[in-house]
Amino acid sequence: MPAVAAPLTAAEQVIAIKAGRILPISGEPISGGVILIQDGKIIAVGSEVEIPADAEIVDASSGVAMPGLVDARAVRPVRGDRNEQSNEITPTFHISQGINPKSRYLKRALQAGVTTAYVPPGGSNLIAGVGVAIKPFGKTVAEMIVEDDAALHITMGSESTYGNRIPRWNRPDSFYYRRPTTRMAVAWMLRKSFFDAQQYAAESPEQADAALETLTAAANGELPLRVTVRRAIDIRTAFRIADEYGLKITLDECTEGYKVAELIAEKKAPVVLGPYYYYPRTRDQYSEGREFNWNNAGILARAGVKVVLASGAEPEMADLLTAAMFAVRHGMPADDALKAITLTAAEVIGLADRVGSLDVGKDADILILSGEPLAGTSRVRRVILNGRTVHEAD
Amino acid sequence: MKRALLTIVAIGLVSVPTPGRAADAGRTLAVRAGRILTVSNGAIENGVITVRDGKIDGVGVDLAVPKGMETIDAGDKVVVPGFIDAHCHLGLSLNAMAEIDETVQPVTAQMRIIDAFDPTADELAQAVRAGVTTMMLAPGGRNPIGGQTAVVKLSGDRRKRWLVKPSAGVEMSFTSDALMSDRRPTSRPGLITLVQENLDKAAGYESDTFAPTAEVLSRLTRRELPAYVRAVAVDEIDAALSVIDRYELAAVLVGAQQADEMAEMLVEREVAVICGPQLLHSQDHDLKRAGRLAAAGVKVAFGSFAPRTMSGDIRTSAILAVRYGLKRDEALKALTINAAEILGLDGRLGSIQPGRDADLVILDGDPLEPASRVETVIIDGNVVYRREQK
Amino acid sequence: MGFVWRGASDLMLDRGRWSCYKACNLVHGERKMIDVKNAHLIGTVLFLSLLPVGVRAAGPSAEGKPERIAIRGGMVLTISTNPIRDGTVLVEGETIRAVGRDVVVPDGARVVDAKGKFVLPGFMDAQSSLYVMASEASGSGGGSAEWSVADALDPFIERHEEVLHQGVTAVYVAPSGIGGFAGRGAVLSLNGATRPEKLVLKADAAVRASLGLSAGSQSSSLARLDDYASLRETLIEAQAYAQRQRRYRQDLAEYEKKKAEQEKEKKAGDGSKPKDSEELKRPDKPASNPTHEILAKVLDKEIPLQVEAHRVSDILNALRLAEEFKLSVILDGCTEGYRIAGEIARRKVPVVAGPVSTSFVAMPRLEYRNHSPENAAILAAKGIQTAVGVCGRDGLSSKFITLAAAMATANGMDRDAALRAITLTPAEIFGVADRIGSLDVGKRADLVVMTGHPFDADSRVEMVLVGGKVVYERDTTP
Repeated sequence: MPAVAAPLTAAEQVIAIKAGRILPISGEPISGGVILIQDGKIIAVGSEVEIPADAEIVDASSGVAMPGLVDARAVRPVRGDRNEQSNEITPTFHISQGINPKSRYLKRALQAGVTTAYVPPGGSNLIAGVGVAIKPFGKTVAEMIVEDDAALHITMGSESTYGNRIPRWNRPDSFYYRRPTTRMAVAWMLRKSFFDAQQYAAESPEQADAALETLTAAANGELPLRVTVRRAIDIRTAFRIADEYGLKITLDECTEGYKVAELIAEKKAPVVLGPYYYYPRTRDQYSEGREFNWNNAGILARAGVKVVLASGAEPEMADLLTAAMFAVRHGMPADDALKAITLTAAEVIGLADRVGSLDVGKDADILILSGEPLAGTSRVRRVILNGRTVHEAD
Repeated sequence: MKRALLTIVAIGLVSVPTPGRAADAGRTLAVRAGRILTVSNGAIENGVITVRDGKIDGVGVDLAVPKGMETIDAGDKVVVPGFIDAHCHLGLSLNAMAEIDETVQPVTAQMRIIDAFDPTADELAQAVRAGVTTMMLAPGGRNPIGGQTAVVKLSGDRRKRWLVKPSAGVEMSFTSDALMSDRRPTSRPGLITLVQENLDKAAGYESDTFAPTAEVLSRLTRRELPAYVRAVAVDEIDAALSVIDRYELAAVLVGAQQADEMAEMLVEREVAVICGPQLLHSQDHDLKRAGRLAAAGVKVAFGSFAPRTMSGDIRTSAILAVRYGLKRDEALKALTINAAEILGLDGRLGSIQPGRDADLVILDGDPLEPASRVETVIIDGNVVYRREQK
Repeated sequence: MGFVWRGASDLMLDRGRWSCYKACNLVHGERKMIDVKNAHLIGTVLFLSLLPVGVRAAGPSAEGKPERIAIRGGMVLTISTNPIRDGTVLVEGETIRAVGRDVVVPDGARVVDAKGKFVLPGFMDAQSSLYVMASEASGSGGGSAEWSVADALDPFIERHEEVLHQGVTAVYVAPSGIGGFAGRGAVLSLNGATRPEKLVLKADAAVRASLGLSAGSQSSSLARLDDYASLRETLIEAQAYAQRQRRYRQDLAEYEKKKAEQEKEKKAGDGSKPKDSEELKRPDKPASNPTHEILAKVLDKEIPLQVEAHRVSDILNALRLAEEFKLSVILDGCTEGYRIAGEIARRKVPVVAGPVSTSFVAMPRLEYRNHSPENAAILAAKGIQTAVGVCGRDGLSSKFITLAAAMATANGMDRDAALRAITLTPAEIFGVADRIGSLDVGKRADLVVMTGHPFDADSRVEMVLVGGKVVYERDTTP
């Protein structure tokens, strides 16, 4: 790949990474190339890149350089409840206000090579609120945020029904005496919400309603819409409602996606998988997520679905490289698997212009591995985030 | 009949004891001591403090003491301003922890902790014996907006002089204590939303309506009342500061264990910190925080959170903080003038200078020496405690 | 460990030639074909290789510290004698070799200049929970006399260095529980050992029990009656057990004696039945019971009984138990002891008083309602052997020991008594005073060098020795 060098400004010192192999993801691998970084951005990538005289050299000639990983569903780094459970429908809930910057999950994710993490709200609410994309390094949440209000999250299936009940002899005023308690109610409440949003948009009343504004934005595609679904029933229902209201959706978790792969491909809905098996608490007693398939990723990818691999609720799965390796073992094409934890993930969270591949102009989020990313023996040796080394393995 | 009534009234007027005479005895006096730590104007060796009608009249070395004035000769002992416990729940009932959180509703700004306080409670005696003369009482931290705090003196007398501020500020909480599973809010984003909703409503408060919560919060948004905000971890403090910024509140952080990591942000906003009792920490890492906070320029005071710890152990907190890095003069200020400033009472309390209340503590050594003991405690010029000589 | 190293080095330095000669003989004997010159070399190498390999690796890291350390010119507070101004403490190996003004510093000794500083024995917190998991330290469940805290130690549980750097070199840790016997406590050394058994300075230092502890904020008077009754009952059972064991041993001895005699007669005789024959039956061994085994030692006064008691009634009950069963009893906590100090003094029972302020404990129980910070002072003034403990909310709280003692002096305790209360007195109470607690010749070199008196706010710990090794030095250690 010919070197594409941007003019060097005297701003910050240039860092030159000499790697044994470079995997840009957006193009062919490069043997023995160089990546130049300045001011937190990539300014050159290639095999014939000229290294400026005063550049700081990072010698990774025995290693493999690839873009920092993008975790499209990093659920854990939140302090306390991930949902405001006093109401089932909370479109204006911002998970960014609940993030714990000192969470050990962020540290672990960083050490496993994740340089961009998307944190969604929890799944206990029907319409849970908006998620935020962060870089997992910094003292305060504000420093970490790349994009807030990144997507609106909906949970289908019975997870949101958990805890809801009819009034009996407990506190007469518990806010848990409410819908939904069944799938039918889940679907109905969603329809009602989007219906209300349509009414609101049509009437455009004086008093702005932030919740309806958010729903409207999601309905007309301005705000991406991500739907957490596990069972095939719920996937079908999700598409049915999406068609009724003209919604474009991304499916999260999608445990039984393999059962309806063609449908998902037909609807051109991207899928964010992860973890392989996760049993949420539901009203019908842990019935969701049990019929998983190790080949889920492979089946979906081969059917033409855009697949992203994420860590989801299991912090152990924050090791996305292992998740990708696992997916390949069970049938996902290797290229797709690597993209699933980098560029495709970046696309799904709307940050493909900034992260997900080693291209000029993108953020200098780079991993140096001791070997090929999908080899079980490779480990993360160095993590560079916004041009700075933030982790070095001993 | 009329004559009889008049007679009765006349007798009544005559027999009522002249108010003030007995109570004033002792409120005018002089104190001599080997070392007077004024806090406001340095240390005075072998000085005298004169007190008139409960207020400090003069402080100095060559002060003339009127003939016949009652004098306490404290020999070579040390006199300091009475200590101020900036945050506690003392005198509230046998089980304070059950009294300080009205959690049925998350926002109870209209509740006032003073309504639960007994100025003659036994447990106040221990605080006095340790040299604490003033304390700020506060509701608990289990409500995002808990209620109004109060400032009281520990003079325990029946003439209501103990009441300094029945409504000193509004207690708020951004900690996970304020989150509950069966009442709003269950999450921190939900807490922030709830607080903002209420403060927005307060902005629209009209004085002729009956809306006690909104009325109190409107005083908060107009900076007529400060907010005492509990927040422990950096993200909680961050969340608190975002609300403080948005509504331009006059605020003080309470507890704020990790505040030292955000010191610049606090200094920028002139937000002071009431540190919790240091004996609640046992790791060196945490014991050093108060010192770091002060070194970064944040005004620091200590609260005991009594009965979680003993009110008098705010002095122990100061001593421990010094052992782990707080400067000695800062430590003394934390116990006195800083707390007074934080409570908006530095015109009355926290230092030994003319015009201030005569709240004095006499110790047999430096207050920041753990071996020093409190000998005498004076509030408004009255000796409220004198250690028994054995 | 130090002994082995010394032994080996002595051999090498003083008898290098002898060792070489010995090794050479070995070599010569085995392989006569080796050249004599090389044999010497091989012999030495062989000898060196025979030295115990793990000398430096095992146990606390030696870091190549010299054998002898002389801490010179400081104010030496021995605790057992009057302070020695400008004194020197000479440490050799693990122990104190000499203490005084005119100690000769041998060549090769490391000299530590303690001019203007204070030198004293390391502190001991007799109410510690260091090295034990918090949840196990404050057990709400019961226990049993034979349970041992040594089985629950974790050397890595927290940064014990933070405690060590405040001059604490030993702690007494016991299992806790509400009601009944909780188990055996041990005196531990902060020697940095990575194996739990190596932390133990004295195992079975006491068996801990409690009377009248409340669970949470509720106190049931019936529960308190049960506490006392059940302790008595278990001790009575233990008495019976001990008696059965004694009788068994006697019967067994008798049986064996008679059996031996029979055998002798049989051998001597002509095969015919001996005259005084009887069918000998081996006595049945009574069932063994670990609880009673330990309590038998308590009844024998081999192990003292440590009773945590706070209220006057519970303290008096503890004293009654001591009298009824003739036990050595240690009162722990003894919160209301100040009200019956005379009674406690009369019975000559030692007390571990603490906490000095209820601010130290996580959740003061109902028993602390009449807590007085003057307790330790009043007890000590009555002549009671009084130690002061931190009784803090977790293991690291032991670092506050000097603060606790200083606070005791603020409440009337004599300064020297307070210092003794965190050094020699706890050592005496828990039976390790032969080894630690004061700077005396022959004792372990567990000592601290401070910039001032430990009760002064400005004093800082500069150096700590445990077992003769410098384990902390203020300027070099990060």
